[in-house]
Amino acid sequence: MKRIIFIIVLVLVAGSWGGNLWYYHRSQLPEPVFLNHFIEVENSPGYSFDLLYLENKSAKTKLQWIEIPELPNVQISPIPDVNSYAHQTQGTMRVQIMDYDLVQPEFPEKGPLVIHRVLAHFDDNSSKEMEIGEIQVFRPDPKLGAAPVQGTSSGSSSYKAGFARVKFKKDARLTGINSTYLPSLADRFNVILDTKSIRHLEQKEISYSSEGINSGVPLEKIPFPLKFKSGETATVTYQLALPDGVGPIARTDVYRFLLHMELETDQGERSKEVIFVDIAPYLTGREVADFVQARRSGE
Amino acid sequence: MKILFYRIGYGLVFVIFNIRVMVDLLPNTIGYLMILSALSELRKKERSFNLGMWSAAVLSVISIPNFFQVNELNLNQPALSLNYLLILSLAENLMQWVLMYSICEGCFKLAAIRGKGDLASSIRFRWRFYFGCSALYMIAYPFILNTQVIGVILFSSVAMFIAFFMIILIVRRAGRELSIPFERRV
Repeated sequence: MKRIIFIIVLVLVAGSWGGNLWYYHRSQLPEPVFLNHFIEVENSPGYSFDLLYLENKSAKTKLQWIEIPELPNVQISPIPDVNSYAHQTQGTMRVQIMDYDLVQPEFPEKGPLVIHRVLAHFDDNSSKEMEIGEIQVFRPDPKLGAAPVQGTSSGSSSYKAGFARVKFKKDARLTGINSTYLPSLADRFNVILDTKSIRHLEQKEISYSSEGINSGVPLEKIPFPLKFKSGETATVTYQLALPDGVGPIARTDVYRFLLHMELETDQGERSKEVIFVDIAPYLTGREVADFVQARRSGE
Repeated sequence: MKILFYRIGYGLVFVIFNIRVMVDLLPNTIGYLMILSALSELRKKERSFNLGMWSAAVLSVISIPNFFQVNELNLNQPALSLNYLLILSLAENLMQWVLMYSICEGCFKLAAIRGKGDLASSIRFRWRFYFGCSALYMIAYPFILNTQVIGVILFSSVAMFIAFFMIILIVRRAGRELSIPFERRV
């Protein structure tokens, strides 16, 4: 055996071990981390939301469960290992708001209850506060009546888009479409409305799935209030379109909030029809790797 | 002389098979000590076995932790960082090359001196095959830390096992053929 072959093989072995250990080391998250959430939820039984987190596969201590001190009336179900990547796993903490007879959260005088941190418990009995983005919990408004509309169809897709179609049961006016997060997400969240009375206005298209394209008038150009007669339909389509320069951490943001169609009947009865916006990223291995690099460099 | 080659063969059986019931029932350390004792005799006949004797001595020490604990990376759940067990495992693999090289080289030279060309070329082929398979394995192995592709690792580890076994067989054959006194050709 020629010595040169020995040397080449030894160099290859050393390179393979050194390179792989180096790459492995720099693919580790410094600590478990929750993705950034934009959550809006009503404090009523049956409402729920998911908090998504990433942790290293090789972590000696794993995230076991969480507590949200501000919300004593929730049940939290940990679902670890929802998705598995080369070095990380993505888990979910499912939070469900339970019955009214439990201790209720304390709401501020005005506005919703805003939560930014949860208390995370690990399997070595340690615990610490972790950032989760933002959860806004609001009280159900007892003054609101039943909406004079009936949902006929709705859908959402991996295109980060969805729609909801409603049919009016009574004559009513649509006075606005709102959401707590709409002002802060104006650069990335598009909403359009389609109904017969505004089809002459400038239209915009959103493709919400591989087959479906909905067109409608962008929210900012709708001349509210709009009058609807019984039997007429309206379709709200939304889409998350991230701006080009957005960083790898923002690409993993989780959106679960409510779009409110604010309605008023001719008798002056106000009500809201709620559209659930649920855009959770289905992360690719590449996106997770970029996320880890961004976290490691302290972005 | 035959018994010394057979001892190497049995020693290699201890090395290749790991039957684990809490501890390794066929400890590598015992295998290396058997090889060590055989090589310390054989080196009197052929100097190439010297290197193997020393590497068997080193291997018999560094394989002791392996008797109590598995020091391999798990293919399904690659975890662990660079710890001393991993270093020992890597060192054992590298030293095995030296040992196998020395055994094959010594056998090859003895066979060549006796004019047993068939045996010599078979030893040379099997050593090259073993070296190729184990080199592939050693290069591919750390990739389980970062990729989920384990096909190459499985393939090369099976090939290495076969190559190892082929060397055990050729060492036994060398023992049989080399123990016969010089044949007289007419």
